Amino acid sequence: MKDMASNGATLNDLRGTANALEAAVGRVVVGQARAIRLVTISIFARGHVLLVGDVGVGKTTLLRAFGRALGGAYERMEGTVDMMPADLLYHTFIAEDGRPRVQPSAVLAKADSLSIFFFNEINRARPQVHALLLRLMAERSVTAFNRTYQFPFLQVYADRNRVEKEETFELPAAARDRFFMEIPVEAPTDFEARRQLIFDPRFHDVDRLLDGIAGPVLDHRGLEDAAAQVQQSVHTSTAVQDYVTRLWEAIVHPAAAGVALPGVDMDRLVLGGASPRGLAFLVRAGRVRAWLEGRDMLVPEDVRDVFVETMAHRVFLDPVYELRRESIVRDLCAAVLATVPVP
Amino acid sequence: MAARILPIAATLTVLLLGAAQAQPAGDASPDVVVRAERDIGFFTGDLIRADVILTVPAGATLDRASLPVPGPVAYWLDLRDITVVRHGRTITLHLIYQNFYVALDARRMQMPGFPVGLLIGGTAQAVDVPPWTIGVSPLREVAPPVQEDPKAYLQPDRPAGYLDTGRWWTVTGGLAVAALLALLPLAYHRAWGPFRRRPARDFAAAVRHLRRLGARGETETGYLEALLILHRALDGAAGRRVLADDMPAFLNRRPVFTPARAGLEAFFQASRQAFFGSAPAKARQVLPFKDLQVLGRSLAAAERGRP
Repeated sequence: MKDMASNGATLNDLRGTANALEAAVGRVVVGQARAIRLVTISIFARGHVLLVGDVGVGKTTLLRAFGRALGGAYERMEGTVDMMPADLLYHTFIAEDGRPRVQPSAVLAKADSLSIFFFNEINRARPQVHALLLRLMAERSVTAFNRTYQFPFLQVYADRNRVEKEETFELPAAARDRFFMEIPVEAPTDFEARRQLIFDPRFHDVDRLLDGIAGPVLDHRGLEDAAAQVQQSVHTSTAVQDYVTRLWEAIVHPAAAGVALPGVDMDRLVLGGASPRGLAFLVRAGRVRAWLEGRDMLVPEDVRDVFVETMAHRVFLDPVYELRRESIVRDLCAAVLATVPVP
Repeated sequence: MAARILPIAATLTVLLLGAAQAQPAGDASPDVVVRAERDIGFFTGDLIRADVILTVPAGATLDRASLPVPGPVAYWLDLRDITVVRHGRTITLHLIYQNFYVALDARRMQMPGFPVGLLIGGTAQAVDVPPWTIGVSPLREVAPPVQEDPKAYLQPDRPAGYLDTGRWWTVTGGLAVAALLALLPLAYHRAWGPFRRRPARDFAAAVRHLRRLGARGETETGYLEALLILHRALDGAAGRRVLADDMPAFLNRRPVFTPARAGLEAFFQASRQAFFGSAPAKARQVLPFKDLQVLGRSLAAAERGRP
């Protein structure tokens, strides 16, 4: 285990650690190389992640594997329609003496060491719960028992149920914008990986599967410093800055940039979104990707590689197109990347 | 003598004046005259033309509804046509009848008269066109001299008349040329033949641009401009933006450029250094301007050779 907080850790060592992290997770989660790469980027960019994907494709396993490889505490909570913010913070019960007790919840109790907090089906929870979660994500702190609890190493992962619409509360634009990335986790397409997942008993017991990761590969306490070091080390030239600014302009005003999609009125497609915060996240993710690729400069390929995952969930469409959102935003991103000149 | 003549003259004068007063005014009553082109020598099927000339008072109008309608008039006579022409007070009815009377001897037949309605000063007045007669004649058989050979009765065919087609050939030729000329805009519109859309030669244009850069290509800004020129040509050739990582896919899609793979790799490396590494000097070491021009020319040559 490496102590990355120490000044002696070089960027190359850091990269080696990141690769080891990816490899460790990749051993237990098969067929998800892209998701693993994106989660690694978000870990080294210290961003919160929205996961989307079908049920049973391995989102929880992926996060538990990362939790194990990162060290620190892992906590999971299910979003339900009757959940209130207090349920997230307080544990209430009747003690042996027959009197009610209120104690910190599991999340609060692990505040000092919580590295991964997985909120499952976030859109089943009420907006009050969203509000608390947003504060937790933005400030890494909550107030309970008349004091502020700090979560210094926290990274929030939320899963959005995209199938059901009844009794769900869709995430407001502001909440979606707080998430660093929206990572799709799909069932593996590789035939061999599929066969393994179905027939290999190793994948049937998640606890035993996760035992395959012997212990933490890196120290989660050093990640903040490591992230800052990565961001400072990667050079962003004027040309790539111009490129990102042009991308921003093109995604907000696609018609003016000459981007056209069949059957879509480009003048009214994009209502808003693609905030400056979003663009900052895009560059942040791009820098981590450049560093993972062994480069000390940000190139358009890095920006392009993380563009959809960092930008798609922050673009807000005209309600007419909202039902076809996934395909339209994907096509819009692809068209913008194919149109904006590089360098 | 004079005394005997005077009372007679006076009496005659009074009688004459009285007679003059008793006569109606010549203007007031319409006058009808029938003029036929001839009144004899009509055979079966002949057209009989006749003009009925009505002299009517000023202001009188003809009631056209009262005119006879073309069609059968009698079992032997059809009215083919009637035309009305008016000149001042004279109204002329041009009538064309057709005679179907099969006469066995020469005889006179009476053409029936008919009334014509006039409107004079708001009152209707009928004027009768009087009947007139025509002479119809029988058809006599032809009795040519007797011939031994029946074919001798036949006359030789009349030679066909000569039609001068020269002018029509000229017109046809002119129209054919016009049709061919009209094909040109159509061919342009449909991109046929010489107007077939050819893929743009992006690299050829890039080479011309690079040549125009000239000595400026050796300076830093000129070198960056040259890199951009080649970038845009690559984008044009691929139909999308080509980044360094896209090069293998681009070469797979456009194998004609595969021989320039090493040059393209150097180009992307240099471009990356120049634009994203902010180190144009290093880039110019990797791929000097001269080599950039050479790469452009080889890509343009490959482009010409494409299918």
